Amino acid sequence: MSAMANPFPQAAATWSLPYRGKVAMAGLIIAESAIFTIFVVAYLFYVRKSLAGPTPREVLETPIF
Amino acid sequence: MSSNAITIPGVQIDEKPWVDTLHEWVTTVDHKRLGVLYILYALLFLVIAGVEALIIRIQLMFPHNHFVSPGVFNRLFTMHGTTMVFFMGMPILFGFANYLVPLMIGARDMAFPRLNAFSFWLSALGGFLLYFSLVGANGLYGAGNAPDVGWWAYAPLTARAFSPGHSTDYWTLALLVSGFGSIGTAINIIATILCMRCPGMKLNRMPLLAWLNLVMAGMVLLAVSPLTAAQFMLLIDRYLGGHFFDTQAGGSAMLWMHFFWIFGHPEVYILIIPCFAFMSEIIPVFSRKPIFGYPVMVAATVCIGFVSMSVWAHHMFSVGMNSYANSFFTITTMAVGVPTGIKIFNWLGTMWGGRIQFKVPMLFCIGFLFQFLIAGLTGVMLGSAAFASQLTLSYFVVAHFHYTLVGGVVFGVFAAIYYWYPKITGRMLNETLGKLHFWLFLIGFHLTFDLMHIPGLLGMPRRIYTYEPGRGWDTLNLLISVGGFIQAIAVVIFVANLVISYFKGKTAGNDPWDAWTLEWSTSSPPPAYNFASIPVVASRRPLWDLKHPEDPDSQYE
Repeated sequence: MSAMANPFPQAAATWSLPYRGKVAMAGLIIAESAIFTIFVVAYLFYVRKSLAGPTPREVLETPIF
Repeated sequence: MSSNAITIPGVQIDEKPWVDTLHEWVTTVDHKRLGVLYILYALLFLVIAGVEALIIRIQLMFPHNHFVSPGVFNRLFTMHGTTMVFFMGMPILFGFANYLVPLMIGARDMAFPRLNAFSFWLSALGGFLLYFSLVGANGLYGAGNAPDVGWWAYAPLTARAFSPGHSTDYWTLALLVSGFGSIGTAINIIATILCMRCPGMKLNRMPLLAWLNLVMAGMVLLAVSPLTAAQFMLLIDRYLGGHFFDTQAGGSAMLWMHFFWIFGHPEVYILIIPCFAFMSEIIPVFSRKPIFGYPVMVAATVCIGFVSMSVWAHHMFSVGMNSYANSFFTITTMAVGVPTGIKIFNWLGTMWGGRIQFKVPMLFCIGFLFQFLIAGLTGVMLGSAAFASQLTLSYFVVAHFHYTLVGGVVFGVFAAIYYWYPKITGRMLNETLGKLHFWLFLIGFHLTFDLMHIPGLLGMPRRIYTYEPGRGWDTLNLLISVGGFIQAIAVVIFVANLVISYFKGKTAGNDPWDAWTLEWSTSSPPPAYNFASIPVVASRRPLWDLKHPEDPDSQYE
């Protein structure tokens, strides 16, 4: 169960990576944006729609025929 | 699994009380333990949802059968579908991502270990909520005791008028909670891969498993979030007097369909892309060749990620969209087949001319390749609006997506378990039992899902409770059910193999497959800190370079 000694060469490398906090925050913003995009789409879908209809009969009418 | 214990010769230490061990597992933030928890949790749900599938198949074994009532039948297929997608498929793939990504990129843990634990327990709570509906959903109404609205829960069936009681609420909450867990895990995977790679591991040197999980995690952010939003709207409809999906008050059932499938179709790729990752790691090792066309594999995956976000309405060809929408979604669906075909070509290219070793993981990979190809071909058929209009909601569709999810995802997961079990436990799985599992599962799979296409073509609708005799479906349904039981026997052998090998399996050693990626450079199971010191890599196959200093890959990349 003990770890192997590291077999890889220890090279002095210039190695920089993005900061994990920034990447995670960007991911969170993307996810939240996707959630709110759906809300906005729903809003745009319904805006100015009639409150009087459609009636159940219209809803159940098959659009094919 | 991991331990940082130091062995001192001549000193015997008493075993910890089981309560301490349990406490350590419940409170762990170690990516390997959380990975194992994800996998065990998913395997539990695989068994539960598998039993549900068997009951469904007993019901459909004969015409005019009444093994369960129609109401129970509705609950069974709803729970089976929801469980397999959300509480088996996603957790097991997140489990492998958790376990393998840090090890393969030379990191000591995920970027956010506590977020990782939080995400797992959210997912676990989601599964618990779904099955708690069996106890709690009755409420005061005496209504149904488990969700029965199907895994896609089309409106207006989810409205309170048609789904009284709380069963649909449990479905909604379970998916909401596990959705937040998925988003947390996806953020963690992205941050880990982009920010925690060991020195030298540039993006073009990352193992394909890391690349593909990066794409998968990006898709989770974009695909699971719309489902979360839609679930909020459904809750508003059910409890706050909203009418988003209430068709009798001006709401739109179509809108729910769009929102669900904006999630639902990318979800298929979220499930299959990690299995592509398993193929991309396992096939080269057992073909004794590096992967063929690494850059193209990465590009094809990224391409799949983008294109698959624009194909969702091919699930809706029969609902009356206009011809422009039908044409658009037909074209995009055909287009997503191209990068997928490229991947299959490259895996075959990897095997071509290789010294193929037919070990159990490789057998499952070969099964995956052929089955996923057929699933893709029936997918292209159903991607055509005219064809889908004829066969939508038939057993042909059921056969197609089970070919993808069982022939693809489940075979991929089995390959991964046989391949990485030695690393996770330090023991080899029994090869003979493994081959028995493979052949039985393969036979059962093909008996069930090859034949299932035919009653679909003959007009058998999906979700049908029972059927009239003499329509040409009887013998086929009997054989389909027999195939289901053969698969169940295979899974019992698999579970027995997991348990027996854990205690009595052959010791694995660090690198039992003579593989090339970093996880095989540390002990089996790895210590809590993964690597004594962080490795430095110079190629895509660092362990190959180490074993073959006379001919390292770094000379050629």
